Order: sequence, then structure tokens, then C-alpha cells
Amino acid sequence: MIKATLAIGAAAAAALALGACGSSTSKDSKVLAVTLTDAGCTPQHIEVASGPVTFQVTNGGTSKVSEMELKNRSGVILGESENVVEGVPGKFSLNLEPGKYVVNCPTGDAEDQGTLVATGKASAKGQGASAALLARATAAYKDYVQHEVALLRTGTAQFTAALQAGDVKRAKELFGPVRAHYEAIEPVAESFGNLDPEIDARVNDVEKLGEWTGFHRIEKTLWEQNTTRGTESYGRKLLRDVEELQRKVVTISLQPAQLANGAVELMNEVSNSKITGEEDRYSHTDLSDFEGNLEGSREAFKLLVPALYQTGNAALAKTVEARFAAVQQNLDAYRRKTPLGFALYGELSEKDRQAFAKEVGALDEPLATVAAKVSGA
Amino acid sequence: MPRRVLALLGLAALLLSQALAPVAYAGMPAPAGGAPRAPERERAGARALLSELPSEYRTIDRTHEAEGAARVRAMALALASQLGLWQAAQPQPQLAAAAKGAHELARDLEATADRLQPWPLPLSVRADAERIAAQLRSAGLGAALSAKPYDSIEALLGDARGATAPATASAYAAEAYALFATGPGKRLQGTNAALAASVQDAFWQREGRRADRGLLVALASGAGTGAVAHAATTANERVSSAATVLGDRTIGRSTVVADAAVIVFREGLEAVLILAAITASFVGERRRLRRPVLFGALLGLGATAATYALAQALVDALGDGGLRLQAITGLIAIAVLLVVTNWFFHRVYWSEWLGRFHRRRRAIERIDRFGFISGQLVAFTLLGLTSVYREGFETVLFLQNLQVSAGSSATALGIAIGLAGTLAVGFVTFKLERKLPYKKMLIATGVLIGLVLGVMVGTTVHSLQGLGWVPSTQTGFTLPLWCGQWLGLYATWEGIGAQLVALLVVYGSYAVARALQTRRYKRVPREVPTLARG
Repeated sequence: MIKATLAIGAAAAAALALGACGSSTSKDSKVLAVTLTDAGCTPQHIEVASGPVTFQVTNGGTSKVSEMELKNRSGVILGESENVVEGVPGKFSLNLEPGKYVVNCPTGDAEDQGTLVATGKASAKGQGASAALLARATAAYKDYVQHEVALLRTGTAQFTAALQAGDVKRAKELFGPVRAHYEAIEPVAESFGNLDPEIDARVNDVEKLGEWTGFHRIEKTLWEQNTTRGTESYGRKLLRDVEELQRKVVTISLQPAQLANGAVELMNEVSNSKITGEEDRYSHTDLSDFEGNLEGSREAFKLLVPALYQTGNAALAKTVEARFAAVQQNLDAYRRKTPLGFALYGELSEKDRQAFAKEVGALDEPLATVAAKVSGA
Repeated sequence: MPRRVLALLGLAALLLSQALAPVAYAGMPAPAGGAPRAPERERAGARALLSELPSEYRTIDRTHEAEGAARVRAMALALASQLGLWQAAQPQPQLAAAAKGAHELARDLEATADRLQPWPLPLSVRADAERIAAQLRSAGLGAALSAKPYDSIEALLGDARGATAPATASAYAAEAYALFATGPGKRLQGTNAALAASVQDAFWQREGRRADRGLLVALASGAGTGAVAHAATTANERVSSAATVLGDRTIGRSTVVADAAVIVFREGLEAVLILAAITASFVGERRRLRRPVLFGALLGLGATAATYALAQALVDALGDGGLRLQAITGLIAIAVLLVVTNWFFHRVYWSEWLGRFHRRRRAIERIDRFGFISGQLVAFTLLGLTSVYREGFETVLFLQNLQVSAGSSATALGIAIGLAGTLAVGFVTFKLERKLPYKKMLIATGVLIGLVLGVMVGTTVHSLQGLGWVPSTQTGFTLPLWCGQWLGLYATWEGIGAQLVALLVVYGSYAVARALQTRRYKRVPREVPTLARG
């Protein structure tokens, strides 16, 4: 699905670094309120002392703008809050190093025109015990992302080969399992400009059908028309985009809060498009994507657990672990011995969907507090 | 009650309203083979619904948010209801196709009552809306969207209050909302997001006390006539506040011109009279002393112009503060008016005030020369300057509010009229050396300024209510919009109360001052001092 977020910085994104202090709480985190309007972000120009910052994003009544991004000067998204509509606020935390950033609320009148200046001196890189643990977490997560993208690349090559060969059955069998690798690391792709919509835009997300490409464009033809005819060029483009993603993830530079933000965004993806059956509207392979989101979110969180224990947030870590387990247990009930590995969305009753929504909501709540705990740790 | 049941009830109400449609449109003659007719406000409302609905739907589809979904469903039902009413009253093939399309759209959007299932595609919803809009245009029921549709909104809210069928009332209310959302609402988000949200709440708020519920929520829940009227009045008031903030419809232009002219003329008159009082004894050989005073007066005018430019720069530097800036400058303007009126009424016949100038003049006349410069000359120049600048400074402070609220052109016209009046009085006084009925003129302008104060207090309280700085308790009766534009009179107890208090303070203090003065004159009979002896 289009965009979730774990804002990943490129290696050149000098802004990113681990926090220096060993604080175990978010008490030093500054809160910045940003309102979305038709014009874009309000305020448009922000100045804040460097260090841990939590952005609280609310919708001021616009139906045109629904997300806010913070980018570095190279245009890489460091943090973002999506699907912010009236009554549904969003937030994300980052540890800002001194420097200039771009504040952007896409599709607003003043796109890419906002600025954020973080003042003060650059913090020393991580020195405490928790900092070392967090550094290990981000390095391990980078390995995980690269591994998943490599699997995605291999799978996509097989998928597009099936499309070229006109093998509808094989293409349909590969569609869900290949996508799960993308769903696991989707927030990473979102930090690279248009790559995510090019690869994974849903039909809900596009303004004009002619601009639509990626997995779901192919899905529509495969399932609605039961043919590969017309999908070949989309397949070739998809493979090129995935290869570009593979090249770009090598350069990523992460901070712990980004892992946590990404974990939350992945679960939001589950709430907003998997449980609703809109992610894979034509193939109904949503539960396979659900598993991908859940695995990616859980992996990012799992890597932060040692630092949470170290910084006195063991209770939070245990709560989140337990809630991840509850969601996983429920999802495992829908595993099937099929190429997809999961039941189709149509098997879910209204009661099943409500149970999933309740469990994911219960997980989201404590998970959303993790970023602030690790952004200044 | 489950959402599905509510949706079915909505559709049932819709069908009922269409059965009653010929009754509702009884006063409108059916066309003889021509295009069906419908009031402009309804056509504009339907057009706005067709624009706003797909736009809002695209946003809420991202999160499947329940309140937004309810709003979109209500808009779709409103559209279907409106088109059904037209079609039932004046059948026509293109209109029938549009009405059918609107029904289908409303039915498709019923899926949004369950957030955990796939919803219709935003692309399809937009395509449906565009097709219906095209069909309406073909049927001769098209309309353009306006950036300032306030008259239509007010009329539709009135229609919603008066409609007997809830579905018809909801259609009018939803059209009023859509007109706002597609026009002023978009601009308002950038200037005052809180007010934009409060306007939306006036239509859609579900939470909180029953009295706080939005108009469409009140209608959907079968609220009584009083509650619906209250909600409609609240919506109208908030839309009106938005118009004020956006500068679309503040105080009427004529009122601004009149206010600016009155204040400039009044302060100019005071300055002329003071100058006349100072120079009255400069006759014969002492006539030469008039020059420095009048020269000082000209410098005072220049200083006033400089102060005006400075104030403008300051206000500009504060940016487009919208309602906030209007409220703050409004409070300053009220303070100025209270000073002016208080000063006037408490020294109703100028005795003390002019006495002070006479004392200063006599003191200056005793000054000898020093160095090459005549001390007298400098002092009289300063006297002329200060007597004009004092009045000018007050005027500048006052005018900032008009400038912020109504823009430059109306204010400039008022200033020009006021200055022309002042120059005329000055010409008659100094050049022709004639006396005018100054006392009557001062009293007349004083009364006018009292009225200006009343209007200013009303509009400022209205701005403060828009900002949420002052509570807003609806009176229960409504006032036409011209009352707000001309008199700053809005249907809230706080606004009306503040205006009454202001008028009471000013005219009451005048009455008290008169009574005290009369008693003093009775005790110590003496001749009333003349205003000017020049």
C-alpha cells in the first residue's frame, strides 16, 4: 500500500544521529504542533532547539492535505505523519541535529516551501549504554531491510517473468508472497520520493487511472480480466523500481525513533487498508500483506527492546510484546496450506474484522509511545 | 441505533420528502416544455455538494473515519433529496437521469457506514459527481461556485428552518454547508483554522450537549423546531464570523465611510476650534502671531500623516492577523471613542479645556526673544502643532480598525470627506472670519460619535466571539444581516448587551454631566463661555 512511514535518511543525511544523553524518558522532548490546511503546513516556518522533538499533527479542516513530512535538505523524508484527517491526529518523534530541514505537507498550495531550523550545538554521538544498544538496533534493522528488499527483488523478477510468459496462474500465486516482503519494509521505500506510489499505489490513491503503476495495477488486470495481457510493461517498470529501491536502501542512515515511527505506521497500514480489504481489492490477498506489515513492525520493535529495558521502560516493552503476540495469534488462525499461505479476505466475517481492529488498536496505543522514549535515549 | 438502520431511515425520509415535493414546490410554476426552474441558491447548493462531496470523500477514504463518512453520506442524501424534489415538481429527462444518479451514489456510499469493509473508489465517486453535474447543466440547472456565497447560505439556512420535511431541511442545510466549504471555508483554514472547525461543528458536531449539536445532526435526530432554529442561527452566526475574518463581509462599506468621515470631521472640528480660540485675540498688530500657530497646525497635520504611515507599517508588520488584528484594533478604537466622548460630554461647553489653551497662550505671550530665534514664534508653532497633533493622534488610532476591517478605499473616502468638512470649517473660520454654530456642531458630532461607538462595540464583540475570547449566547431571535453590516448588531446577548452598556455609559454620563452643570449654574449664575471668539 502507498506510504506508511519509517523515515529513513540517506547516508548523507547529516542531520541524523543518536541522542547523546542517557535519559530514559521523553520528558526533554519538545512538542511542536502542526496544523494541516489547504495551504499546507501551519506554521510554515519553525525554529526549535535541536534534540528530541515530537510533532503533533492535526487537520485544520482541509480535505486536500492529509500528511506532513519532515525532509532533510536532500529531500529524504526523515519523519512523517499520514492520513491525518479531522478527528484523527497524528504524531511522530525525531532527534533533530542542528541544521535546516524542509517541512512539507504534500498536495498543499505551498508544497515543499516550509522550513524548520534546529538551533544549538550538535550532540555528541551516543555514549551511554542505551546509546550503544540503539546503535546496534539501527544497524541490525538496516540489515533486515536489505535482506527483505533482496527477497523482494528476487520475487519480483520471478513475478514479472511469469507476466512476460503469459503464465496467469504462476503470476497469481507469486503476487501475495512477493508483496509481503515489500509490506514488511514499506516505510523505508516511502522515504525515497515517488518510489512507493510507483510500486504500491492502490487504485484509491490515484487521481487518474493513466498514472497508475505497480503491483496493484497488475493485480487489477490479473484478477479482473484473468490475463497477463497488458501487464508486461507494468511488470518491467515494477522490476526497475524495485531494483532502484534495492540500490537506495544500501545508503540509508537511521535513528532509533525512525524504527519506532515505522513500526507504528506499519500497524496503521493494517488498520487503514488490510482489515478493510482495500489493499488487495481484486485479489483479496490482504491477510498476506497483513502478515508482512506485522512482521516488519514487530522486527523494528524487537530490535529496540534491549534499549527499552536498559532505560527503565521494561513495562512498556512487555505490554507491546504481549499485544504483538495477541495480534499474531489471531492472524495465525487464518494460515492456510496454499501458495499464498493465508485465507482470502472474503473469509473474514464482520466479527473477525472487528476483533482484528480491536487488537491492532490495543497494540497501536503503547507502540505509539516508543518513539518518544528512544528519540532522546 | 445501528448505522445501517439510520441509513435506511434516511432513505425513507428522502422518499417521503419526494412524495411531498409537489407540495413543497407548489408556488413554482411548472415549465411548459422548457428547462425546470429552481431558486439560484438551491442550484448553487447542489453544485457545491457535487464539488465538496468527492473532495471530502477522497480524504476520509484514506482512514475510513466514521464522522467524515457520516458527513459524506448526509451530503449524498441531501443531493438526492434536492434533485428528487426538483424532478417531482418539474419532471424532465436530464433531471431524472441526474436524480437517479444521485440516488445510486447515495446508495453506494451506504457502504461507508461500516469502516471495516471496502468502500467505493474515490475515482468512481468523483466520476459520478461529475456526470450528475453535467446532467444538471444539460437540464438548465447548472450554477457557478462563488467565493462569497453568504447570501445563499443565509437563505438556505432560513429554508432549512422553515422546511417541514426533515429530509428537505437537511438538504438545504447540507447545501449551505457545501457552499461554505467549497468557497470561504477553504480560505478560512489558512487564516483561522479554529474558526473553520467551529463552522464545521455548527453543521456536524455530534458530541457534547444537545444544544451544541450541529444543525444536520439536530435534524437527523428529529430535534424540535426550537433546537433546529437555534442550530441554524448558530451556523449563520459562525458563517458570518468567518465572513468577517476573511474580510468578505465586515461592517458595511457605507458605514465605514460614514464612521471615518465622522471621526475625522469631529476631531478636525475640535482642532479648528482650539486654533480659533488661541488666535482669537490676535488682532491688529498682534495678527502676525497667527502665522506661527497656523504653521504649527500644518506641522501637526504632517506629524499626523507620519503617524498614520507608522501605524500602518506596524499593523502590516503584524501580518494578516485577520480577526485577531481586527479585535485588537477594535478595542483600541473603542478606547479612543470613549476618551473622545467622555472628554466631550464632561466638558460639554469647553470651558476648562479652552481655558487651559488661553492660559498657555498668555504664558507664551510673556516669553521674550532668545538668541536669533523668537521664543514666542517657536512656542506658538509648538502650540499649533500640539493642538492639532493631539486630535490627529486619536484619529490615527481609531482609523486603524476601519482600515483592518474594511480595507483602504472605504477608509480613505471617509477620511477625504471628513478632511473636506474640516477644511471648509477652517476656511470659514480663518479666512472669512465668520462664526459658525460651533456648539450645535459639537453636540451633533458628539451624538454621531456615540452611534459610531455603538457600532464599533458591536463589531468588536462579534470579532472577539469569532476568536472565542468572548462567549456567544444566541438570543433566540434572528436579525437580518444588514443589521450586522450597518449597525454591528448581531443576535447574541453579549453583543447587544455590550452595545447597550456603551451607549448607556456615554449618553448616561452626558445626562449626569448636564444635570450637574445645570445645578451649578443655578447655584452660581454666570454667563456660558463662548466657544470661539475669532
